[in-house]
Amino acid sequence: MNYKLDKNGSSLKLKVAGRIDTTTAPQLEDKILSEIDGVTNLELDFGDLEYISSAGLRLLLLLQKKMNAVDGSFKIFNVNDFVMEVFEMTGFNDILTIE
Amino acid sequence: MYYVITSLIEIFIVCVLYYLTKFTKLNRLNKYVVQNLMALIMSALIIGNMHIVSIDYYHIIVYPSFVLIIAVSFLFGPWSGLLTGLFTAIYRFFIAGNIYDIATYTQFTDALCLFLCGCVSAAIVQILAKKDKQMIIPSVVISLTFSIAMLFINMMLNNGTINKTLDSVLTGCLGLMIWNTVMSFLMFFVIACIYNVNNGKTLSEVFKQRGSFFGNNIFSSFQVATLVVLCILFVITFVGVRFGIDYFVKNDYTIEFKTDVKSLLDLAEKDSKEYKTNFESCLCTFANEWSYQDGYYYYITDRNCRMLNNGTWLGDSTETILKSTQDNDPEVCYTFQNSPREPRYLVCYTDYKEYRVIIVTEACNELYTLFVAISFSILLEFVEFGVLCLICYFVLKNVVGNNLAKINNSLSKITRGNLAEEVNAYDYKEFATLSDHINSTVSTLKGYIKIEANRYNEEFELARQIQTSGLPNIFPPFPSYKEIDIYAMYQPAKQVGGDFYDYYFISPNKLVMIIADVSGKGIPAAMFMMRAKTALRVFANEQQDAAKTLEAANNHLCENNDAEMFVTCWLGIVDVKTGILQHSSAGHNAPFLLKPHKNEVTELDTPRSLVLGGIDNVSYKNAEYKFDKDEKLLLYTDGISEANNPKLKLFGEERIKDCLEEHINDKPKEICEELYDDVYMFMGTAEQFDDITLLTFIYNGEVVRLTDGVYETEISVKSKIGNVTKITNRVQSILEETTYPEKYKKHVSVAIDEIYSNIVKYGYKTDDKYITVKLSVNEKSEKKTMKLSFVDVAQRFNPLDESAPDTTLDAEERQIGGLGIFMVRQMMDDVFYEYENGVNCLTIVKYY
Repeated sequence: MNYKLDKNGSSLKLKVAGRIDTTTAPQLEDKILSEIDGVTNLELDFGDLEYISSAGLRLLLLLQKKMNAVDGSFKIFNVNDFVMEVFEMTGFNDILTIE
Repeated sequence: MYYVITSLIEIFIVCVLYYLTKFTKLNRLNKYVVQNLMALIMSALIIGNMHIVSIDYYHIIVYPSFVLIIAVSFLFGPWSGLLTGLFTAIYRFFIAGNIYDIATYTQFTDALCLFLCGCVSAAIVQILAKKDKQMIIPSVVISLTFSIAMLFINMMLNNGTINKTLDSVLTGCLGLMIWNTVMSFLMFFVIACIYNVNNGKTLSEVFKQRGSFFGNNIFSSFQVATLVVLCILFVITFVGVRFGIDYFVKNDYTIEFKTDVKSLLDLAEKDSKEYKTNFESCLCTFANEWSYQDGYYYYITDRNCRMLNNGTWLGDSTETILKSTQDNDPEVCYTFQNSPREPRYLVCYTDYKEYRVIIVTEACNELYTLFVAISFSILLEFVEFGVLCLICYFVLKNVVGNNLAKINNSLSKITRGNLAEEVNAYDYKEFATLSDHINSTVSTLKGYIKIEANRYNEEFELARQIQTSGLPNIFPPFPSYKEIDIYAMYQPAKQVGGDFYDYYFISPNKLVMIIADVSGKGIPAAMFMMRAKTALRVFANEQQDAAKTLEAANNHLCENNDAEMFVTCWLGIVDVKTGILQHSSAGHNAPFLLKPHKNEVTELDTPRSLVLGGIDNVSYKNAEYKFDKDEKLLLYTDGISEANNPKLKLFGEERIKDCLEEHINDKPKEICEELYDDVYMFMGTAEQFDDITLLTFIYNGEVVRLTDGVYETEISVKSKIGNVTKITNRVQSILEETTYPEKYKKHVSVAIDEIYSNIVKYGYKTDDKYITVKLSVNEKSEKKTMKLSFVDVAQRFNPLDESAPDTTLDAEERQIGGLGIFMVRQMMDDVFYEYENGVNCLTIVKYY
C-alpha cells in the first residue's frame, strides 16, 4: 500500500493505492491521525484501492467520528466495485459519504 | 694309575647323577630325599675307592674323597656334603680300620678330615649360596686344604719329625695341587656343559644353591632329627672308643688274662713233674706253643725282663713292651703303644717264682671286636632309625603331603575363579570325606551364584522391555503428513542402557524430535530414562519451544535426583508446513544435516548447554534452521561414534559422515540401515558397549498436489500480523492455476485477512505461535469447490457464536467487533467451525 498526502490548511486529501487491510491499516492510521489536527475537510481517493478489510473499515469509522466531532466533512471518492460491495454489505455506505 | 681311572669314573658318575636329578623327571623328587640319596651314593663310591686299590702313600695325592665331598655339597646341597662326610668318616673310623688291613693309626685322622671336610663344605655352600658367589675357587681351596692337612698329619705320624714331614709334604704338594685343581675344574666344567646344553646358564649361575638345612615342612624335621641322633651317637662312640679303652681294659680283661697265665703255669708245673723236665723249659715250650693262637703272645722273662723263650713275634717292639712291665702293677691289664704308628697292645703279667709271665695281645683284637660289635649295632640302629624315618616320610608324604598338596592345589584354582574345579583326593577315607565336603560347598555356592545371576538377568530383561516398549516404533509414524518422514532404530547393548528417541506432535503442524542418552546403565538408568522422556513430553506440549522445554525439563529432573543421574538431549521442533526447525541441545552431540541438492553433509550447529539433571536453572538457547526440500537430519548417540572394533579403534564421526555422504539420496530407512550395517561390520567380534540409537528425519517440503483438477496446499506461518501476506500470496498463486473466478479472489484475500487477524489478535495474542492454512480446490466435482481452513491451537473459540453486528447503526453507535466474521460470512458460501484435540479449525467454502 502507498498513499499520497496533500494537506492544505484545514483540508486533507489522501490518495491510497493497494489495500487497506490488517497489515496496512495501522500505518495509514498513524499517518492520518498525525495530520488530522485542525482538519475539517477530509477527502480520500480510493481510485487505486484494491480492497479493504474490517481493519480499514475501522479506520474509516474512526475518521468519520472525528469529522463529526469537528463538524467537518469526510468524503470518499472513486470507490471500485468490490470496495463498494464491502461498504454495502456492512452498512458503511450509510455511514460514509461516498462519491 | 688305577686310582686316576677310578677317580675319573667317580667324577663321571657324579656328573651323570647331577644331570639326572636336575634335568629329567627325577627333579620332581623332594630335594631332601635327593640330598640323602646322593650322600649315600657318594659315600659308597668313596668307601669303594678305599678298597679297590691298595693305598700307598703316593696315592694319597690322588685321593678323590675330598673333591667328591665338596662337589656333592655344591651340586646337591649342603646337607648332602655333610652326610657324605659323616658316613665316610664313620665307615673309615669304625669299619675300614678294623675289619680290613688298612693302617689303623690313620683311621682317626682320615675320619676326622672327612667329617670336617663335609661340615666345612656344607657351611661354605650355605654361606656362599646366599650371597650368590662364585664357588669353584672355594671348592678347590677347601679340597687342597684338607688333602694337604691329611697328608701332613699322616706323614707326621709316620716319620715322627717335623723336618722329614715337611720334606714329604712339599714333595707331594705340587702333585696334590695340580690334581685337585684339575679334578675340580673338570667336574665343574662337565656340569656347566650340562647346564649350557639344557638352559644356557652361565658358569657362575650353575652353582647357586638355594638349599638350606632347615626347611619348614614336615620332612626336613625328620632330616634334622636323623642328623642330630647320628652325630650324638657318633660322638658317643668315638669318645667311648678312644677314651673308654682303659676303662674296659682295667676291668674285664684283667680277669681273663689272669686265668690264662694261671693255666699256663699249672700246665707247665704238671708237665715238668710228670716228665721230670726243667720247669723253665716246659714253661717256655708251652709259651711258644700257645703264642700265635688267637692273637695272644706269651713271653717268659726273668725279673729283669730279659726274655727266656724265643718270642720275637712283636718285632722291634718286643723288648720295650717287656720292659714296660716294670712300670706297671702285676695282674693288672694295661695298654701299651710304642708310637702312634704302631699298634696298641694290651699287656698283662704275673710274677711266679723267679719268672715273669707276660701276655701281650693287640688291643683291637680284644677290645675292638667288642667295640666293633657295639658300633655295628649302633650303626644298625642308625640304619633302622633311618629306615623308619624313610617309611614315616613316605607314608606321611603320600597320605598327608600329597593329598594336602592336591587339596591345596584345587582350592587355589577355585579361589582364582575356576568354580568347575573339583577336589580329587579320594585315596584315604578322611581325605575322601574332606574332598566331598569341599566339593559340595563349592556346588552350593555355584548354585547361589547362578540364582543371583539369573535374578540379575531377569531384572535386566524386564528393564529392557520397559525401556524398549516406550520407544515409538511404528513406521512410517505419521502417514497423513506427507511433508515429513521419520525412521528410527534402537539397538541396546548387553546391559540395559539409557538411550532413547521420541517424536510427537505438540500442535497440528509442529513435530518434536528428541534423541537422548542417559548416563549409566542398568535399572536406575532405565527409570531415569522414563522420567526424562515423560518430562520432556509434558513440557514440550506446555512450552511449545525447544529451549524452554529443556529448561523446564531440566529443573524438573533436578528435583529428587538422588542418584545423580543426568541425560544428554537434543530436542528439535520442526514446523512441518514451513520446514522451520527450532533446536536446542543439552550436552548432546550435534546431528548431521544432509543436503542432497547441494551434495553436502554438515553438522547442524545446535547451541549446546549443560546436560539435563545436572544443576537447576540452566538456561538453554534456541537456534533455527529452515529445511529446504528433501533435506534430512540424522540424530544419533555416541553409541555409534564410540563403537569400537577388536583393535580398540573408534568408529568416529568421520565414518558416519562418509556413510551419509554415500547414501545422501537414500530414504531415511535406508540411511539408518546402512549406517547401522557399517557400524556392525566395523565392530566385528568386539562387544557392543553402548546402545546404538539412530533417527533419520526427512523434510519433503510443502506439498502441493496438482493433479487432475485437484489442488491442495498447506502453509504455516508464525502468528505475526505481517505474515498474512504470505498466506494470501500463496493462496492466490494457487488460485491462479485454477479457474477460480477473478471477482471472487478479492473475497478470499479479505477473508484470509479477517480470519487471520482475529486469530492473531484474539487467539494467540503473541507472534510466536503457528497458524496453518489449508487450501483445497476441487474442480473435478460438479460444483467446483474452494475450501480454505484456518487451524490454530489457541484457546477454544468459535467466532460464529458471536452475534452479527447491527449494520444499521450510525457511526457513533457502530461497533467494529464482529465485523470481520460478518464480512466473511457474507462473502463465502459456507463457513463452519470445528474443535478437536486442542485445535481450532475454521473453514470457509466457496462454490463456483
